[in-house]
Amino acid sequence: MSAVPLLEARKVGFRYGRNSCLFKGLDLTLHEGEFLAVVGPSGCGKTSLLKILGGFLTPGSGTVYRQGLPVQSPSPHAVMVFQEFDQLFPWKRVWSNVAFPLKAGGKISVSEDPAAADPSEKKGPDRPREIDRRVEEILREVGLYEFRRYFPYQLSGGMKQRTALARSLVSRPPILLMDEPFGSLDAQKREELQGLLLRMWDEHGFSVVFVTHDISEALVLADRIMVMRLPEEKAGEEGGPGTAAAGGRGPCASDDSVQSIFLDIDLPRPRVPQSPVFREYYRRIFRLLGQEGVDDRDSSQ
Amino acid sequence: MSTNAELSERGRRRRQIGVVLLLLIIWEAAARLSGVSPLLFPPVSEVVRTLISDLGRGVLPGRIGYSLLIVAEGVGIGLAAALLLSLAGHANRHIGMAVDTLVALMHPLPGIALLPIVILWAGVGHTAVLLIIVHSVLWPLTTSITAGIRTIAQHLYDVSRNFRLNPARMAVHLIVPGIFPHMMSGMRIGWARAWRALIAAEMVFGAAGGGGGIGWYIFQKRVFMDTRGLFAGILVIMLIGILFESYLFDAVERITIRKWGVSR
Repeated sequence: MSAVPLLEARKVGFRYGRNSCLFKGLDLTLHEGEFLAVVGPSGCGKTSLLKILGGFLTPGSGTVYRQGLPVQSPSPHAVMVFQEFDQLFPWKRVWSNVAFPLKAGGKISVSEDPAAADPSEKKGPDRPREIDRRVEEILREVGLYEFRRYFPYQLSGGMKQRTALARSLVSRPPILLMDEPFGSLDAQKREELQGLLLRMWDEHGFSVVFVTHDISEALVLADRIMVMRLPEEKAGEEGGPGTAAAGGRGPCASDDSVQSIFLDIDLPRPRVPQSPVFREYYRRIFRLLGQEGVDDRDSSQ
Repeated sequence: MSTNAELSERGRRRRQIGVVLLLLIIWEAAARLSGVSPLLFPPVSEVVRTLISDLGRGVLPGRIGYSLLIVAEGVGIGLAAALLLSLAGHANRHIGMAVDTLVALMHPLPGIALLPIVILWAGVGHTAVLLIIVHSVLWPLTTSITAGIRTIAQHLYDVSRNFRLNPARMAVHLIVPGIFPHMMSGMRIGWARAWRALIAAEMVFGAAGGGGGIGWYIFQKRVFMDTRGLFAGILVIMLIGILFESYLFDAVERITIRKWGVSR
């Protein structure tokens, strides 16, 4: 394991419009194999942060580094998974949706042998067979191989998210950036998919930044949780980023932007939400989000 | 699509055919019983006989082929130009505004109104007819393709960026299938306008160059006072219109947007 973090945000800031500040001076580090969850109320900029980490948005200030190199644009090394079901191509069957990164994407190696992992291998005669093998493997892993000929509209919400998960992992990226991926599912499906994600994380060893507003979900999944809190006067106010912008959070004064606090979750998996330690963690995060108990900051890293 | 929907669709078609048969019977009876000269109003049986004999002699197939070929050519050029305009408009906000304005100006203009100028510029040949057809399809197609590009889910752009698709693959995997539902409705409008404009242009120009289309066929029949032929030409125009609008476009939609579940 190298000393350089897999993903690192240094003093990252982002604003909507000219005068309103979402967050600034935000630091974040993702280590190899780590599962980091980001929780926070809606409108605190969780999604924007994730998009900045992925290179989809340019930060207003600061820099994001991936394996030590500044991130300028999206890359197959850090794959986004969204909450919305429309992230699947309606005109592609499950199989083609999952094969998409390997077939259409640029320069992704499909070889098992790391030594052969150079772009020229792409043209090799084995590539189509190798792609088929990889797609079949990942579809069996998410339990959708029997549904490979279905179009997205024929799938349930859970199956759609399984397809999206398979597509994001088929190219074996080191980083997964997940934006409330299970947010539109019912409780049972959500639990199923959390288990699936943890199993795959365990087996494949990728790292995850997982955005959610559900404290329990973050606690079930993550090694570490980043809590984003709105500044004092905004606490308790509901509203998305649009409201925040319209409300005019004002220029980025020192204590006027979103704060972040990190918590290590020292709980063995599988985690049981009914356990006393779990509930203690839950209460602590809840208090952090609720703006009370600034004294809890002693447990941040 | 459910079996129920298919059944009701079939029932609708059957009733439509019934209506057509009824109209034909009324036509036949009216022509035979009214005592109007067949030179002005021939019975449908005579018209059909002329139709079949002209089809058999190869006169009509040649005319139909000529018309369809030139429409295909015009629609092809119009589609390519519409794609270029909409993509350029999508890539650049200022170009987009210019394209929108251009469409707003040109769309309401019937092709036939351009005829005198087109004749002035391009004569009465093949090029002139082609220009009229391109004008008929270009603007509605640009409107619908522009709308189509805007409706492609932002997430799909993000996914494509995530895996670093080059522009060609972006077009194949994302843009073209993404605009397909809108493009099909644009094609329906464009085709309908092109077909009508073509017939009108042909009847004004007469034969263009090597031969004429179905409009020219009707024009000739009028010259020779062949009323049955006139009606036969009209029937052919109707039949081809129905064939395209009710069957061909439906067939294309069945194997694309309806299969993908993005329409109906």
